[in-house]
Amino acid sequence: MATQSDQLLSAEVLPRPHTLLVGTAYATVASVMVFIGLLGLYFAERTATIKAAPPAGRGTAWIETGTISLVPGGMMLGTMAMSVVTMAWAVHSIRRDDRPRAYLALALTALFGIAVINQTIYYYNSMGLTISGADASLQGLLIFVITGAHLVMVGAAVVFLLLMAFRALAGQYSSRQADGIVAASIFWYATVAVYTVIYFGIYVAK
Amino acid sequence: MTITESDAAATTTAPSVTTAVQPQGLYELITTGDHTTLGRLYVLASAVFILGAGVFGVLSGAEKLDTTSIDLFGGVTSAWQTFAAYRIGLLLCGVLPLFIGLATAVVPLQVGSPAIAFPRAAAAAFWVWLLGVGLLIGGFAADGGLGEAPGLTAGTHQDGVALTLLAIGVLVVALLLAAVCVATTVLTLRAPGLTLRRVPVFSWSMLVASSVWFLTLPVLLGRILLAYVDYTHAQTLYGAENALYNQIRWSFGQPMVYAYAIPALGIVSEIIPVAARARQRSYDVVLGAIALFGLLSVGSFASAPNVQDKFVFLAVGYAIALPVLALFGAWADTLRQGKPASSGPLGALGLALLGALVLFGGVLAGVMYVFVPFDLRNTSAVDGQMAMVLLASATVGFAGVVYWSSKLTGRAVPEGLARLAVLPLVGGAFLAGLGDFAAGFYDQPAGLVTSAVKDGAEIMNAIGLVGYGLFALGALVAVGAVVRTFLPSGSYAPANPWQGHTLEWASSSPPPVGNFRGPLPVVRSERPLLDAAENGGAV
Repeated sequence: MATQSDQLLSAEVLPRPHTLLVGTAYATVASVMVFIGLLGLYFAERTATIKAAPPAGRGTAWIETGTISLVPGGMMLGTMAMSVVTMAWAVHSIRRDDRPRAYLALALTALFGIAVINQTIYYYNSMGLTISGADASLQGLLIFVITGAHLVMVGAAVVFLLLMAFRALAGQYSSRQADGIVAASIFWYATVAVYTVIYFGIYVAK
Repeated sequence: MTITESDAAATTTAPSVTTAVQPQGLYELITTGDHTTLGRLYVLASAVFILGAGVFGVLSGAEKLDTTSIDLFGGVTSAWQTFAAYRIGLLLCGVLPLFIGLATAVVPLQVGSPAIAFPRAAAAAFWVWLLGVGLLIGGFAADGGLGEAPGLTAGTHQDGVALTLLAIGVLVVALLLAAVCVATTVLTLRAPGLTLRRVPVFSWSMLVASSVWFLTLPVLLGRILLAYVDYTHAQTLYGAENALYNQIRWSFGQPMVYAYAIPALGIVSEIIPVAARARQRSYDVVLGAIALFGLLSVGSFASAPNVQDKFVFLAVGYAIALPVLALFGAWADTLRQGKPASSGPLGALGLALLGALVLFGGVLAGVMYVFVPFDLRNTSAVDGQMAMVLLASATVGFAGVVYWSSKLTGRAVPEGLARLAVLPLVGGAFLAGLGDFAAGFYDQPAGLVTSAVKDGAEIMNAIGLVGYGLFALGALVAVGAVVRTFLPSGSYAPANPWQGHTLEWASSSPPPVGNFRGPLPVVRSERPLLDAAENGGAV
């Protein structure tokens, strides 16, 4: 049976090349909102604790001095900052069809991501906080959940990046269509932005 | 002038989306990325879960008949778990997936796309959602649920509670993934000429709803994650067994509860002009009102403690009525201009319009809730408002299923069955909400009631029970109607049984692989098929 679409005059479909880009942008917003919610809660608890009088509250210091060393956190920030450069380099290269440098930049970015995962695990072992047993604390819970969620985000970013890198290796992206690499970079930059807030808001401010 | 003339400037290449095939067996069903099939699966499953949630609502309502004791269940824990199962089931297994399912099936057709964006992700979202439902059922079956009611002593439900929290997290992630696919389809896979101002209202409402969900549901996910980690370790604060519900309570109250109802506004706006056989009046106002409603329903800020005294909470509570009033104005104007025919979608119209009225009742209940002199804080009024909004949303969702059934399965829901479901669903949604809401004026506390309340509250609870019973009955009829369209009996419906106005009706019933036979025309208005009909079919 003929439908109305059969009778309509035809026109070719317009290109909508940004599907992956838009989808990634939505996923990035959702990921960032997880951290906005958790960090909002963290700062609310921190403020309440600091403002509370010591006998009734949990003391005036949110995290005691010496509990968290700044060195590993700073190293991670440095690693993240370098990954921003390599990620931008990857996008720049693929847009100029400089494939060898694009592959190199993508590999370096992924390596930095894996290094951050490694550094986070080291950081966990050096922190004087715990979430189980008699020493469990609210501070430890919030910090481990927030940084743990960020660890997952970094892992997802690395996987996404590698996936796009393999697609690039297969010749899918070029100066005409670099959406996959740009999408990976959006998620990567969000990962770095979230860590920057964690570093200054949690590790530095204590 | 035609609205679908060929446009040389639009002659370009097709988008790079995968056009899936119709599944022929179990393996193909599990691995399919066909949006119509996924939509069908969502709709069927969520309709059944709405019925299940309705039954839990009946049980929960029956328990409130005598507020001085726990009569129906073995103890207060079982009563609490039933209450929690009703709420979580209705929202995450019923209403949201019903809308997502309809959108998965209909939105690509409405925007003239041959497939949904990220078909494999859409398929993964459905199966992960179904896994989440299984985990949720397992969590409750294992004596878990959400632990104990706030204020009660913690019990020993270690694994079951952890499983329930995990299930909620999985459900939220799956629904968000599905929403990404729908929103991306609207934004990037529209037909030539179909600008965002011309997008059909349901697709627009799904774009708004998805955007709001991206801003709010991840906050819920974060709280669930926090509760899960704490519960499985030290149970210091957020994961204490009697504090778990407090982590997600805000997502059932206003303004967050309105975020789940956004697609309902789009469905009503689709059905009314077609049933009235008239062009939607004030189209831009309708789009703007839905966007404003979505903006005001961004309720993640309500997850903060003591937010109910804040100006923004009160202001949003009042302001949210304005876009709904604007919508009712536009709908009334359209109905006034039109001439509904007996061959039109009158069953769907009844469900949609009356469901929208109950939804408006929920909005008014929200206005009364924030009106300080009524002092309804922490009373069951918040439960009543939630019930009214969510059950009305489910009712409008069923209206959407009736309206688009020929696109979902190829067979139209019998009009008699649709009309039969109107009164029980609409009346049930209204009475269920009214009972709990009115009981709030008698200072009945929100959630589980374990102590005596003022005289009169139990009568309101009885009204609420009747409402839940009616709704469950209506849901049973609706499920029967949905199942009937799935049965391979009878002939397929015509392509455009209601003389619809938008692109989905230009496709056959059910849609072919790729949705449309041949390339699409350039769209020149928000009602391309109506324009074509008004031009005598010469397009």
